[in-house]
Amino acid sequence: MPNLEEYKAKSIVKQEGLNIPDGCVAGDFSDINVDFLKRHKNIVLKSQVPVGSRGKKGGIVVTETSSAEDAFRELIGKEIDFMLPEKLLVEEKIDYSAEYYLSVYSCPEHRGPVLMFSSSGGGDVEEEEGGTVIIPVKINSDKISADFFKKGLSAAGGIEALELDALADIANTLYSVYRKYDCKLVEINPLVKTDEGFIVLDAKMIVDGDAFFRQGEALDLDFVEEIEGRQPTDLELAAGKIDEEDYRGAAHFVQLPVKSIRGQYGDKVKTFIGFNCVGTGASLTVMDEIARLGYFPRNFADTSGNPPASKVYRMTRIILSQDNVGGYVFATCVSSQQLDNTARGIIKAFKEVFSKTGGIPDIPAVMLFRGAWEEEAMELLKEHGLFDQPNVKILDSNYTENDLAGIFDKLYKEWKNGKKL
Amino acid sequence: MVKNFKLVLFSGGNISIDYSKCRDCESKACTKFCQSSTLEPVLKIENGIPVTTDSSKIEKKNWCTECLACELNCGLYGKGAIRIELPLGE
Repeated sequence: MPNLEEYKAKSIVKQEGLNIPDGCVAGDFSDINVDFLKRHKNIVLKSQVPVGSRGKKGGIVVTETSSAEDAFRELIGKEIDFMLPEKLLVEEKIDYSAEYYLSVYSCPEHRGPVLMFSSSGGGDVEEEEGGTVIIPVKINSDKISADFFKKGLSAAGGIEALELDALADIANTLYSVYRKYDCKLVEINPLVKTDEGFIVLDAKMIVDGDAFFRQGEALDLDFVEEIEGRQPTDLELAAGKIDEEDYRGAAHFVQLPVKSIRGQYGDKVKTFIGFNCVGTGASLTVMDEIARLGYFPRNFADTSGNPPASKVYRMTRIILSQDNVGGYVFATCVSSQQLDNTARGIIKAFKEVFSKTGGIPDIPAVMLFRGAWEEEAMELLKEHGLFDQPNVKILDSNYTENDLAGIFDKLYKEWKNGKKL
Repeated sequence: MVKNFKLVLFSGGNISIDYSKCRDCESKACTKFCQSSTLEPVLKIENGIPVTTDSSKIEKKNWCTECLACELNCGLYGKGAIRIELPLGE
């Protein structure tokens, strides 16, 4: 599900007629227009990382324009939730008298779009009790009725009638953005009241991944997996290209956060492994079994749906190109896909990555093939010299996910103790 | 001189064959899996070298299933004349 950066979301709501602060996006302080800096005495620097509560995490800095350059350098070099911003949004500082929260999102319970309003905007407003009024929007309506909106908002209290008219217009604009861009969520937080009217101080848009084919180009989106909450890595972008045009089978790839896992599990982490599976159900069981023994997946990957060998090859190359990888695990469910093709993809990738040893890896690798063309897959691995080498164990349908984890553990310990290739 | 072979693949990339290596190849292993497939084969041996079975279908999407068997077999039993380039992230 593509998650638009704040500056992109703001430019869209501006196109649709809402007011946003004067500002620009910059990767370097020198990118900022000099006239902009002359126009404003105080400015706001906002780290463009897709993280909630950025203000509390030090991702938003208010500064005098005269000292903005130092503040800019400091903020662009600051990691927030393990993410380093590539650019900052630089805006005029807005003085306001009230702040609100307004969003339209796809509600699973309501099975349709829901409008959410709060008379108190800001961080964590969704978690607050009181003040937040949820107004369900009729699924097939093109427009939110002003009366309906006002009736719902009257429960929030303390809002003048004139403001209600203006807020109803803004809610309708937001709803039209939600529909036009196939959003799962479009949010303004805060929407602030100023002497010049309402201004969008922050905006967020999450586009439904199924609408990529018609929104990708318009919104300049990359085809990636659901990685809500952060920017895609280079490898995730490369993996997204595998499936972009080739409909044969599926290729899913998401990298997992090494720093965060190490922070959470500490010494329990023996190593990270490059991981691929056929069938996501089996992958969950395998990941549970190997993580329990201290081997954490560096990535999630799935090459199922009977993909051509070329797709498995590309995915394997991506998996093996990751840093911080001390092992490789491949596992299938009891699959109906042509596993000989799957094996060929893996063999070609291994022969290229580990070319000096004819494809035999210099890290422990366990592969579990179960299902259709399983015997042919085994024969291919034997034929190409990858069957049961010192660092490699190939398993068939006589083995379970639990067996795989135990065998990898044994192999890893032997490898660690010097029995390596 | 025999012209070298190149087939563009549906997923991007291509299969290329260096015919200068094929002359000394006795195995002709490159076409064995392709010819045994239940699908329409792409490669056949003609005058001692692998060629497409139907030149009119070269532009047909998905004709080659990209099983990679020709390259792997050529590398193992032949002369390493076949190279399948599958670019990443383009």
